[in-house]
Amino acid sequence: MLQQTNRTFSTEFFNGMNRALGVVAGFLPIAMSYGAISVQSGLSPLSTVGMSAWVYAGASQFAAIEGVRQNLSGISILVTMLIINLRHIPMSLSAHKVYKRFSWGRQWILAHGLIDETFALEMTDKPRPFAYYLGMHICCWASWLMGSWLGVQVGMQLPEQWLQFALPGLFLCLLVSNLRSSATAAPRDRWQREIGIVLGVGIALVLITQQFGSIGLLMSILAIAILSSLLPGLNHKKP
Amino acid sequence: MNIWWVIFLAGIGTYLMRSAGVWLPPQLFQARWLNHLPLAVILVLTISSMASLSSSTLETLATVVAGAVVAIASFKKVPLIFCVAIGCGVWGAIASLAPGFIP
Repeated sequence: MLQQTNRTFSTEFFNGMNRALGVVAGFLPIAMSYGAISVQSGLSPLSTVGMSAWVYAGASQFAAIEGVRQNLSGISILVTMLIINLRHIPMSLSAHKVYKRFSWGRQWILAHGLIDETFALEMTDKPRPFAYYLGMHICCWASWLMGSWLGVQVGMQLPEQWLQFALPGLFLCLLVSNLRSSATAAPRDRWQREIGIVLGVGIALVLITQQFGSIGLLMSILAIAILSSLLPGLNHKKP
Repeated sequence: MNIWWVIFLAGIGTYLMRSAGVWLPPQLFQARWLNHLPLAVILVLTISSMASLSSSTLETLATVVAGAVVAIASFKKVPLIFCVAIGCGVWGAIASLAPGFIP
C-alpha cells in the first residue's frame, strides 16, 4: 500500500516536471543572461545565485542588478524589487482556488514556486495532486538556478562593453510584451492614443525626476500607475 | 544596507506576496491603480536604464538606434534572448566608433 502511494507520488511528480519542460527551455537563456549581466554589474557569483534561489523573480532580479550598476542605495533597490513583485499578490489570491484543497503546510511549500509561468500552466489545467505541482515548481526553480550559475560562468568571460545594452534591451522587450498584453476591449485607436499619453508622460517624468535619484523614480512609478488607472481606454476589461 | 540584506528582505517580502492567498482576504486588493504598477515599473526602468547609457552624443545615438532595433524585433516576436543579443551588437558596434572604446 505504502509502495503504491510512493509510486503514485513519484509518477505525478515526474508528470509535473514533464509539463514544466517547455518553461525550462524558455527559462535557461533568460537565467543565463541574468547571471552574465549580474557578474558584469559587480555582484559576486554567490550573491547572484543566492538571489536566484531565495528571491526567484526574474524581473525584480534584473531591476536589482540595474540598481547595483547605477549605485542606488540598498533601500531603493529593495523597494523597487518589492514593487515589481506586487503582481504576485493577485496571482496568489487566484491560485488559492487551486491550492486550497491541500494542507496549510503544503500551500506554503507551493507558494515559493508560484511564478508567472507556473501560474499560467496551473490556471489552464485541470486540478492535479500536490506531487504534480511540486514536480513542476521544483523543475522550474532548479532550471532558474542552473541557468543563473551557467550565466555567471559565461559572464565572467565576456567583454563588459558589449553587454552594456543588455539590461535596457531586456527591459525594452519586457515593456513591449507588457504593452501587447495590456490591450483592452476599448477601440484600438483610443487604446493607442491613451497608451501614447502614458508613454509620453512616463518618458518626460523619468527624465525630469532622474535628478532626484531613486525617490524620483518611485514618484514616477506611482504617477504613471495612477495616470493609467484614470484613462478609461486602458481600463476596459476584455470580454 | 549591503546586498545580502537586500536579497534576504526581498526574498521574505516576495514570499509573503506569493503566499498572500494563504493568509490574506481577497477583498483587500481591489484598487485599480495596483493593476497598472507592473507596466509603470517596467516603463520607468526602461527609460532610466537607457538614459544612464547616454553620456556622450555617440552613446545617445547608439542607445536610440539599438532601442529602436530591439523594439521592432520584440514587436515581431523574435525570442527575447536574440532581441537582447541584437541590441547589444548594435549598441556595441556604434559605440565602438568612439575613440577610446575598448572591446
